[in-house]
Amino acid sequence: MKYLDDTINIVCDVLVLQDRKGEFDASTGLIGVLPEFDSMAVVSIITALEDEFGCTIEDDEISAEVFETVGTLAIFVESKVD
Amino acid sequence: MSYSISASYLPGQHGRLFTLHYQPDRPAESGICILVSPPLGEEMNRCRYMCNLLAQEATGLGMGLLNIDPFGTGDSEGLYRQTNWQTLEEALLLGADKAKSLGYHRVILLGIRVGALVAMDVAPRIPNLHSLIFWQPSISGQSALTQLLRIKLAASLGRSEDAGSIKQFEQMSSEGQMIEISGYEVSPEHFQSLKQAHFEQSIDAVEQPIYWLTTLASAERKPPRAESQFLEKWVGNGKKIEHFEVIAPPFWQVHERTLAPTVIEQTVTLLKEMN
Repeated sequence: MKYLDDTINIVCDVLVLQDRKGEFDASTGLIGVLPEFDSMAVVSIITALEDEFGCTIEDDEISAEVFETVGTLAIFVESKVD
Repeated sequence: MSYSISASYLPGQHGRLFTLHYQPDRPAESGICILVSPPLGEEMNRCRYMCNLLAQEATGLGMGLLNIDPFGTGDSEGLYRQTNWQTLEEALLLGADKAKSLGYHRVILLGIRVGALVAMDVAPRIPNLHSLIFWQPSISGQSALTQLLRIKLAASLGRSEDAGSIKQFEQMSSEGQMIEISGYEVSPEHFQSLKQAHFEQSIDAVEQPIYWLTTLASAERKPPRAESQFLEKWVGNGKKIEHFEVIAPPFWQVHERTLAPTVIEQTVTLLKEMN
């Protein structure tokens, strides 16, 4: 998973969870699992991804499946960047 | 404690506006009062603690701070659906008058997020305006609106309901409907004025220096491209803008009382130079 580390960095930076970064891997659940992962967090992560990778994320790409785990988000990032 | 806090209501055009005044025990000769131009919706709540922290530091320097909830927001009268660009401006204009009546000689506008856009619009109408300080300003109302609408989309993730789309929300608003975002009803009027607001429209009329703080989550991150381009253009055009990059968490959007002490430190450094 090419963008796993980038994804973990962005999620932890945005949610201010840097001290727990070591616990994050592809299987870490996001939406409905992390209490910090509310709708504002989703939007903050989308914006951070757009800023970081210079891509545009469309409305219909914002889905529960994408934000299910760190791994699904990393795969989405890869699809947007490559 | 080197300050006192007094709460009161200012008579606004549509209702009373809740006002907090942090008054220094020993006012400095500079006679500066910081007037907060808050962000929108939930971001406003998440920034309260930062404003309180700044007030504690500013009063220690002999400066006052006024925090006024615009009509329809916070503890002021009215409902959020009654908030519009004019009511946001009104809070700042009344705040400037209030600062004068309290004996302050000069005003610094502290614009946070969309509050910076409102501050820019109002700046030419505030006599004795000393300068503007921005915390993570939104330079484009359209981008800020997109962010808000994305929150609405994100809130429906995992539910069976039709999430809709930003295009649909824009259409609904243009047809005169309220758009509800995380419990805040945004009126069509507010929606449209937000959409049209942009730093480009107001910056020419602002003569005072602007101190612009951008937070970065880590040293490896860069500020958004649109912001860098805007700053480059207007600093090149001779505008007095000083830009600071500060490593800090996104305090306006994170749950709990997330603080950004580095933002306060940088702001206090600026305030000390102004005293």
